[in-house]
Amino acid sequence: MIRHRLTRLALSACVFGVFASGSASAKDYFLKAERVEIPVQDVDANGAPVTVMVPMWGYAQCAAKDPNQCGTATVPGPEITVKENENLSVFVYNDLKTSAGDHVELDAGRTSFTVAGLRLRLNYGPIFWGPSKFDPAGDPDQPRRVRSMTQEARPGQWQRYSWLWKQGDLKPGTYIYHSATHPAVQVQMGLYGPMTVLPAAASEVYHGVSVDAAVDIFYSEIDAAFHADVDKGLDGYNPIPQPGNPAGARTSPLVYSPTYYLVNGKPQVDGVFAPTWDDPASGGVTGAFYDRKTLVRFRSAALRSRIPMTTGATAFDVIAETAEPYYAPPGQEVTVAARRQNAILLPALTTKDAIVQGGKEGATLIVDRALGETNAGGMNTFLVLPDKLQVYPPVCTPAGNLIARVRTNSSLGDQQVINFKISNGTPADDLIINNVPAQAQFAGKWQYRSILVNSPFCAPGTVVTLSAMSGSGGFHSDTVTIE
Amino acid sequence: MAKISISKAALAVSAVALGVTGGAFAGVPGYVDPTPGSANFDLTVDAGYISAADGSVIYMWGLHTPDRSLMQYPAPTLIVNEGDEVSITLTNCLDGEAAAENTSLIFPGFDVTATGGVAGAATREAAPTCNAADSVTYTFTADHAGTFLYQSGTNISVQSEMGLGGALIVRPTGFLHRDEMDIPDARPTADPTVATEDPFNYVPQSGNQIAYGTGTDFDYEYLYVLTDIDPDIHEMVRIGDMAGAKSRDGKAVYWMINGRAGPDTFFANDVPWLPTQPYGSMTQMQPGQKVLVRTVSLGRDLHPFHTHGNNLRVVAVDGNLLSSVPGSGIPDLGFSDFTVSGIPGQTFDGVFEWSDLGMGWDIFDEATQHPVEWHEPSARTDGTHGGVIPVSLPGIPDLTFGGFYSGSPYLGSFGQLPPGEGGLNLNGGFFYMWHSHNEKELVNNDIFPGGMMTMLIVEPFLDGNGDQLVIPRGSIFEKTAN
Repeated sequence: MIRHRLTRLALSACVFGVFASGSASAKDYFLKAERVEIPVQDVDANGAPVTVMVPMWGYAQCAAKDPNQCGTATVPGPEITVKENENLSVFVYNDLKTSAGDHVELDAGRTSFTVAGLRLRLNYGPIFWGPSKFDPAGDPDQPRRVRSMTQEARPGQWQRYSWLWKQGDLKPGTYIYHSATHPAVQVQMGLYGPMTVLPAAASEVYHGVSVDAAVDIFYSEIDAAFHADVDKGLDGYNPIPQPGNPAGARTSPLVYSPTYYLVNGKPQVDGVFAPTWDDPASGGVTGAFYDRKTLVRFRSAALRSRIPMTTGATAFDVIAETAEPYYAPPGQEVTVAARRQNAILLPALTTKDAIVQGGKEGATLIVDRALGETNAGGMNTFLVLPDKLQVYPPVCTPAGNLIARVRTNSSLGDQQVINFKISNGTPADDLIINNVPAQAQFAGKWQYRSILVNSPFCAPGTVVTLSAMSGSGGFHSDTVTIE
Repeated sequence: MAKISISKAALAVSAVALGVTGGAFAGVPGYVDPTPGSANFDLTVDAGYISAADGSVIYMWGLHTPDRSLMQYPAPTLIVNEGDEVSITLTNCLDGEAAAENTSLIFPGFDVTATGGVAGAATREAAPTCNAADSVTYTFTADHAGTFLYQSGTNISVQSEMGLGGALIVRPTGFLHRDEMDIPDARPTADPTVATEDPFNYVPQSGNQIAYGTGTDFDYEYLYVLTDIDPDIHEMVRIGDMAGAKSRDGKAVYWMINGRAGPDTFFANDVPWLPTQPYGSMTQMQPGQKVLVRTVSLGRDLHPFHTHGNNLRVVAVDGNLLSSVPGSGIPDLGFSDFTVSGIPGQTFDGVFEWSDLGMGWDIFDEATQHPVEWHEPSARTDGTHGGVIPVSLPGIPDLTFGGFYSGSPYLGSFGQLPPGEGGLNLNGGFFYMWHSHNEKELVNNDIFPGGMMTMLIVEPFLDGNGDQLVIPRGSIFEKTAN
């Protein structure tokens, strides 16, 4: 007989990882704020592809309170996820440098951390420029000028930021964390990231609101000239050309003109949705199965208002903004009155949460209707609500042929593209069969696709993996050992 | 310059006069399929030019129906009925243009099946060949009523700017125009036995002339497609510099309602000197009536739409009734505001009402206005009947005038004006400006006034000759393409 091990890979399931991460009462995150170069695929004046490296400041996640145990910084930063009944501590290490590796002169090289919408416990801010107990070397000429809303991390040092659940500091919702030091510069340089507070009850995203999966769509902007000048360590804002500095010093976004529009950290060129075996989401975000509830957490760290708009039938049932659910009637936390919209206004540093539940599987292009796009791409992404493919364990016939079989659940019926990949662990033997035809005798809502394949898959002891992918990005696989 | 604008304004008024007295429709035409139960449309993309009210000419890409040889801006308003199987065939005639490229149409909120053409990011696209073999047909069931938009789904950041977008109106099941119901045109009806806060004892005559359900009945409906234009992008596209157009940080200098910059917005539909901008947006109503304001935002910037005269009660967003009880048709979650955000990619429906309730004086001058039944004291519950203006009116030497002042503060009345003043107010109506409250948008490339601005005229019930003044059903009215 067949012993099979199920490795069903529903991409949406990864979001549940955070639910399963235990009920520890304390959660610590270690972030290193550092200089990082983000590659952007642009085109030059002749239309030829060119990779532009944009200097930014980002957060790298560290395994411990040790700046040598960190990954590479990303923009937006790593997602911080915490339950409302946990204590949260975020330790920030300040490793900000200029392109030459020098100390950042701007804002005395300090940085800090806050979450808009959540009360920081033990907040020693605001921090002034003048000398203080925390900064005896401060500038005596600017005693009452604020530099930071919260306590700062000095260059080469850690600073701790805490939220205590017993004090009611954590409230379920979709948030953005960011630097609280001279945010006009530091946030735009890239010091921001997604934060999510989950209710204590599993599967809930707000009190009384349960979903099957949650996905993130995070918008941000880059004005490359600003990044370059801050990165060079230029001092002071002066957009007027100077001798030796013909472009002037644009060290603030006062004159602001984005050159790149990013969704989830990069500009997206809106090509045809084409899932691959390596990346079934292929430039999109994958939610729950099309007939289930997917929460889309929209966040924007862009300075200009962005407007995600559906291009298809997938409407957004907006249930919350800036982590405030639309509870109706007010005063209870049981039911929300969703506001169904095709386009959502997302001003700077705000969040909105929308539930999508499609009647149809597939990928829907979500565009920024504020038209954030350049030749490098823009704020376009595919929201993928996959079909629930059921992959049957491959079996061998007495004649030694392998039967690969999949059930689809799509309203698209026989128009749906289903591809098979059969593997025995030897890449040269991989068999990919595109557009496996539907079986007419099963026409209806449930569709079966099966195909008969010759060896080399049916020798005893062969470990065979059958993978199936729908044209909408749904991806499942099943592995058996032929006995 | 001033002379030109005056003569334009005068033309506007004569056009409105035609609209009122000649029986022409005052609102915006929308295309219907003349075959009952059918909703098939052919749309062609062409390049063309529009003019702004400062005299400049702007290169555009636009859509049009077979009855027109020129593209139009905005795209043709399409009217279908709830439940219709809508079929729209798109042919791309951008061939020959320097930046010719594929194009497509999306219908946010509807489950569209596209056939023909080539695959694109959002939907299937038509290549610029002007060949029916490359056309794309979009079909969908208009499964919910409301105000929607349709627009290009290809190279959206440029093609939206270039003009490829318009309004789609889905009439609810059971919708009937008033004149199809064999009841008189809307006007207040005398019913002295009814005690009501409505100063005119207004008995709604709209029947099943509704936008969504019973809570959204209206007398007139008007369309406001809000757009903005950065002409530099258009010029780049015209000369074929698509890369330049795409990388430009768009900054609008023209702001339009229904494809026209104010004061061209005052002109009637289809005036011959604006051949690619067929839609006006002058709004007319009479006291006590309900105007459905269908707003479609297709620019790149937010436009705070501000209604003088009264608040606007928003009843739906993106074709979704603001209701706590789905299916009830009652917009109980609607809200009242004097400035409503026009958010690009969104539509909203508002109900606007105007009366003199609470003013404390009688807007009709007893001495000169015609006594009519509904104007009897018993029908006025707020005590304003016969109420006089509670201030001493200044004499003519102490007044300044505009073209819209009739010379009398009373509705439907005229007064003495110095030579050269007034003259733009045919019926003695009250004029209220409806406009973007982003004040910089009230210009045409820095020439004030203009931009995203039109007028509401509260008209009297009797015209200057004492005849009943009827605003034609108009508003958004049906027109066939063939």
